[in-house]
Amino acid sequence: MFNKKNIEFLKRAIKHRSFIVGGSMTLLLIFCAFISLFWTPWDPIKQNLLIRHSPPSWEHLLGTDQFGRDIFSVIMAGSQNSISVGLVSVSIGIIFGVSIGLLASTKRGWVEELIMRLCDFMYAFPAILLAIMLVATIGQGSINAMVAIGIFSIPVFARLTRGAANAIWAREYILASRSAGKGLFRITIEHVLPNILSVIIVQATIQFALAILAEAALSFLGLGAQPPTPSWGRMLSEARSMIYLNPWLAVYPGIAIAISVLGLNLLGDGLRDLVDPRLARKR
Amino acid sequence: MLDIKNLNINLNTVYGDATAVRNLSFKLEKGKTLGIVGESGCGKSLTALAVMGLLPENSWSTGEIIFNNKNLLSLNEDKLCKIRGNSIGMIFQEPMTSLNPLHTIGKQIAEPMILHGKVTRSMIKKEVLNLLDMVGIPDPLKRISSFPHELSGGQRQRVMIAMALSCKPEILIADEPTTALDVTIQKQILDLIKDLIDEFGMSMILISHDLGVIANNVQEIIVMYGGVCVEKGYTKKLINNISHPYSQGLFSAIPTLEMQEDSEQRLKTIPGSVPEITEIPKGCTFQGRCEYVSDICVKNSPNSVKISEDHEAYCFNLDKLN
Amino acid sequence: MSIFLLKRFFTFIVTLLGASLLTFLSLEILPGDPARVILGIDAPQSAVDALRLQLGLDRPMVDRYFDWLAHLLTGRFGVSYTYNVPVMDLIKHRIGITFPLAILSMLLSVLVALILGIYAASRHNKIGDVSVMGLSQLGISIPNFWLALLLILFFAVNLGWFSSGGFVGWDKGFIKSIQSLILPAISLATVQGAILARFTRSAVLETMREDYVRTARAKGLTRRGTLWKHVLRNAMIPVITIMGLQFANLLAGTIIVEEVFAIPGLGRLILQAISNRDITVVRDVVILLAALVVFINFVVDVLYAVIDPRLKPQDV
Ligand SMILES: Nc1ncnc2c1ncn2[C@@H]1O[C@H](COP(=O)(O)OP(=O)(O)OP(=O)(O)O)[C@@H](O)[C@H]1O
Ligand SMILES: [Mg+2]
Repeated sequence: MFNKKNIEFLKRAIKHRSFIVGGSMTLLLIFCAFISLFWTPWDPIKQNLLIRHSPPSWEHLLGTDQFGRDIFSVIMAGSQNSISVGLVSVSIGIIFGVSIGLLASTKRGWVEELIMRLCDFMYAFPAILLAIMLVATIGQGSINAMVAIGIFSIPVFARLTRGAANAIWAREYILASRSAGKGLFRITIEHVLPNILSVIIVQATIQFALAILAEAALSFLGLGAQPPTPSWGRMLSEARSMIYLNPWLAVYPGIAIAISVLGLNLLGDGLRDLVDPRLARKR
Repeated sequence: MLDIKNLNINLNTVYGDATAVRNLSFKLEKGKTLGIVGESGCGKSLTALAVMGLLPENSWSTGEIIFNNKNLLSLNEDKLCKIRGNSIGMIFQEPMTSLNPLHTIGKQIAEPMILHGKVTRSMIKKEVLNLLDMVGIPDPLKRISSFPHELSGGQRQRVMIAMALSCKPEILIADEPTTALDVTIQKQILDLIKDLIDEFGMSMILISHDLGVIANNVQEIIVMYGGVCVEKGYTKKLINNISHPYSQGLFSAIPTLEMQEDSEQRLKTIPGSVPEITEIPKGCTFQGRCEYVSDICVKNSPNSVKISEDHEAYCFNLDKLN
Repeated sequence: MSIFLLKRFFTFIVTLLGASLLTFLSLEILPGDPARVILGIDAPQSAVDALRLQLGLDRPMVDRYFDWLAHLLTGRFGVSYTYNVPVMDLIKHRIGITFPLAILSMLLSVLVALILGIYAASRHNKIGDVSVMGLSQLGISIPNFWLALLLILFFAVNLGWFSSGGFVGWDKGFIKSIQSLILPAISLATVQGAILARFTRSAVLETMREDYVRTARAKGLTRRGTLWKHVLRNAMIPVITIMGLQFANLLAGTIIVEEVFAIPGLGRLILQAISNRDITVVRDVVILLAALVVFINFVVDVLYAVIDPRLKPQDV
């Protein structure tokens, strides 16, 4: 755990600005979601029509919305939705994408060709369009949105995995273990997978951010999380009709989305720098 | 004409700052040829790039590089641009990647001449054809509109030579011009360079890791190891009395014809490998691999020892060696 | 024609077929009887049966797929159930809004991205580079529909410079029309532009490390001269690919941005059709958009062959 290599990595990590900033923002997001499971300043769901559209105050830090709910509390609770969408869809993407990518890189030949052509195809097709169609047909709701978003991150992971795995397969020690009689499956599990893990983690961070964005878009169109589940995208959609009355309603949820996405993106960039073999390789 | 005094090249690497070339000094007279030889990573290319003023972004150099009474290291970028390609031409190590894949051969050869105002527009094509013919590219009229990917490695290197010589520079720097090529083509290219040098009366700095190539093609040799000069001298004198342990190692690593027939007699190689530039030791840079190493080699850097007129080596143990 | 283009053309056709299959199938998995879904639970069975017949739902799926394809190929689109007009009529007006919107935002994003990306690369690791990168990082993290809301808030609600939505119609003049498309275009272009700027920067930086760039410098070209004459064209090759892919995202993005700005384009048509379960419209519009995207990617491939001599037809 604390061998020289890891300590070296940690030392570089502490000095890496976007890693630290992005990491802190991501931690903030996770912390928010975790706390809101047990406690929010006010109930994010219960309406109180007596205090609709009240301005920011000590009682209600960001004011209240058109139903008299505390905006700060709703935003806090909304982070749960974003995080679960990210987790579920990225997991779907990783489980299927990585398996497919590994399959392509182990089998080669027409299997690889077919899989890669399919991925190309998915790339060229506007993902959000299909997600909208899919959600519209199988019905709107958080779960369906997560699945739809997850499906469209499969080709991303498949492509990435195949590329990275092919590079590992080309290494000499793999040849050595092949000639030592190890099976393809075992080599894949023992040598290939551990070696491409860091690349996958970096991509997972980026996909997590994209999933949050996509879910917000679907919810904004009314195809994602349904009321009363607090959701940033839906908050923005509801704020549209209040734009003259209470413009701030359209501002806060967007900031929450932007901070989460920015944090994850910075974290991903930082991680990529830190694990980049081009830097780690001795010159 | 070219006088390099105390050239130091520093690099800023991921592992901290390092000095890749240390206190290098040499002179190159007009019409003379000089060779720099040493293993991979000893700073040959960096030295060449320093003369061109094209060091990588993460490096800087100190000392003096005097060319025609001007210190190149203190010239501004505009003045350097007028010298590059015009008075000093350079051929690079990798012919496969050193040509722009999107421009025709003709356009790339014409570029320096247009840039430095050597020819009029109307004469360009004729001039390029001449150059292609001169470097021995068959059917120049057709090749002038070829793209690099349509040429073989040897032909691309010929194009590079045509490009470097197009403005008739005073100095040609050839950085391992044949390393990436087939053995059969290597000699052709070297002969071509030599002929053209003689024809135009240019000076040349030839860089190689192959002492044989160097000895056959230049008048003066500098042997480098770990960023410093370990031995230098006129080719004849140096080859007849190779003094520094490293140069001796390099020399016995040259394959000869008899050896290849007798597989028992393997090439003698120098044990160990070149230190990373961040790990170059104090004292003599060669201490880690030298069989004659003693305490003083670890403490101090050796000074120049004169072996004969125009031949010197940097070593504490020269007397033990002979 | 070169082998390369032939191959690409083949891919183009296959991708189109794939897209049609995907579109068709994803609408087929609708749970239950589409006719029933359209008409609602309370509709009499006779009406549902009539609608099934009208929609051709009584026939096997494979037949319907090929029928649809044949219709598409002959340019005969279906008839919208909810509007009761040919889909073609619905599309005709709307494509004249959505397409200019997509083009306008593409132009905006490419223009800004190339300028910023090249600028950042030429100032590598200096303050200019760092600020462009920071800005683009921010641009990537902002959802386009939120940006749309902010733009409305600022330029329409607060300043009153633009209307907060709607489209005046091309008959009101070019300037006025473009004016009503400019805010939507900006909100679409920002994210894509930010991504493209980062990509351009790294493509330029990568190219600047190439050996032939060093060769160009050794010829005596200045830094700037090298950038213009040798780096940019080479760096554009990967950048163009991304532009092609981004066009897909832009078109898809119009769906949401048209919704925010209440612009009656194809995107809104799809959304409405989806909520009305008007399958014919959804299917035809989606395949139209997909065809557009695939076509653009084909054009990109052809552009490649123009830029890169390595892909030009070999003399035989
Ligand atoms: N941009 C750079 N950043 C970090 N280190 C560098 C850089 N350029 C060169 N070096 C290091 O400096 C040392 C000298 O490099 P140089 O290219 O001059 O070697 P060389 O003698 O030309 O070797 P070769 O025969 O392989 O061309 C090497 O150890 C190399 O790794
Ligand atoms: Mg070199």
